[in-house]
Amino acid sequence: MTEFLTSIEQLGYSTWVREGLTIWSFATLLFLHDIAMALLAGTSIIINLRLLGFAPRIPLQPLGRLYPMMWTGFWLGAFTGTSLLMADANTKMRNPDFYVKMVLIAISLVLMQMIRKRVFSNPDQPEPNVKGLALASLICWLGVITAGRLMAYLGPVAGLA
Amino acid sequence: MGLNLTDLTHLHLLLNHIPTIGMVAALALFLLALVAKSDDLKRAALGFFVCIALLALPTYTSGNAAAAHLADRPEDTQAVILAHQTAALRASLVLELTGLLAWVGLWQFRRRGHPAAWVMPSVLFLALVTFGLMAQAANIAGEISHTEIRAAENGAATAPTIAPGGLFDGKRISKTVKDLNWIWAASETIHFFGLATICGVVLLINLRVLGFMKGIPFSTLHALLPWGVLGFALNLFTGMTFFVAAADQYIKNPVFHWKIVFLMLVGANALYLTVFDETWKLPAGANASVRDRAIAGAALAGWFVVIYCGDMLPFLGNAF
Repeated sequence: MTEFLTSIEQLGYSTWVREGLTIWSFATLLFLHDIAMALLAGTSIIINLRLLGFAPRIPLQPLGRLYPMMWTGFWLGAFTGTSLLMADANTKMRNPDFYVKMVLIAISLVLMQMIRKRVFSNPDQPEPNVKGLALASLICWLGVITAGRLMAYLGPVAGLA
Repeated sequence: MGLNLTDLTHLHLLLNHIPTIGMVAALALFLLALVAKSDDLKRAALGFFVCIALLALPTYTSGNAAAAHLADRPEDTQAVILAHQTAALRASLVLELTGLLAWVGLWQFRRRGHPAAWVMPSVLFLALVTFGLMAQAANIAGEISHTEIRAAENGAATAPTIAPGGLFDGKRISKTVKDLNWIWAASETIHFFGLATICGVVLLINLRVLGFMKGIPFSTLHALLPWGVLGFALNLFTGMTFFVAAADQYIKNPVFHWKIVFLMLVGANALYLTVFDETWKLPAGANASVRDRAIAGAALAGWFVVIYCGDMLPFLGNAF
């Protein structure tokens, strides 16, 4: 396992991300990872608040148009996240907190799609009650952010190069 | 602008009049509005409080730069500087609360035509407390460089009236945060909750103004603004925790000061969206005016810069 993870860390791309000594490698990937969080989690959190009953006059259907933006956020996060993982594979893959974050992201995405199906696929139906789903989604996103943020503090932590 | 310690010290000497003298003017306007029972004047005074609270951010942060600039002054002066910092932190926290509550008043004016019964008396109370605390901070600060007004014959500083070690003592806060690791980690987590919430609100509102999701009338999105301001408040107080705990790693980094500049601009944008008629009246299906679209684009760009500057603190500039 260690050998495999080390070989990933030693790939040219991983080394560039970690030791590139340019603002465009590690620092920019980290910044784009935050932008991804804003596009995906930020937008989903607000849709969930609306579904929970806040700002109830906002018409729901136009919010469905935010899904492509949220998925763009997901793929941006997946790409930048994978890059950051490759640069620091041994440390991150041994950190239980990393797996907590991955599981929570998977649950969040499933909830997001369930909400899409229930709320945004049937524009002619009256507003369905999806408060349970919305609350679960909200809590999962806050969990994802917490787990992600704490990777810098919990378990094995690599010092920045 | 290099934003070095000398520039920032000049800036502090300029800005420090805003929370003190500005507060006198804002309070006078507010009292006049209450006596005259004029809603327009009330809204103007509330907006004034919000602007002072935003301008207090660089006032506070440039103060630490000024203190670093005077690091070679004698011991009695250092004691005065520390007492001034303690008084300034306490006063700034109450001022930020005043600004946040004043914003709530403006938001309620817009939605309901009048603020809730408790808002105006609370703003008045907090503004008076702010003024008292700011006056105290300013009074202590006078003795830092104006040796001629010191009471002692030899020009030695009077022992400061605020003893070190209290709740708002920056050195004590810094030690506590460094001793208890979880405070920093928890504050970072909350800072990111705030960031995600702010971004969700900012994206939704500004994308609508730019012409996406035209089926949404703007006035319904207005109800989301408090969530964005809640995120702003969370990040203001967690951000102040970072700054007070480790001021040195921020004040010498130009990226940090740019972040504060852009924070004021996006804060002013929240004020614009709250009080101006044009966006408020944007109905479902309609296009926003060119001016509003330009402002919405600038707001999105402004937040992009704030996040960029925040993320780049460890990588750009000369700190950390």
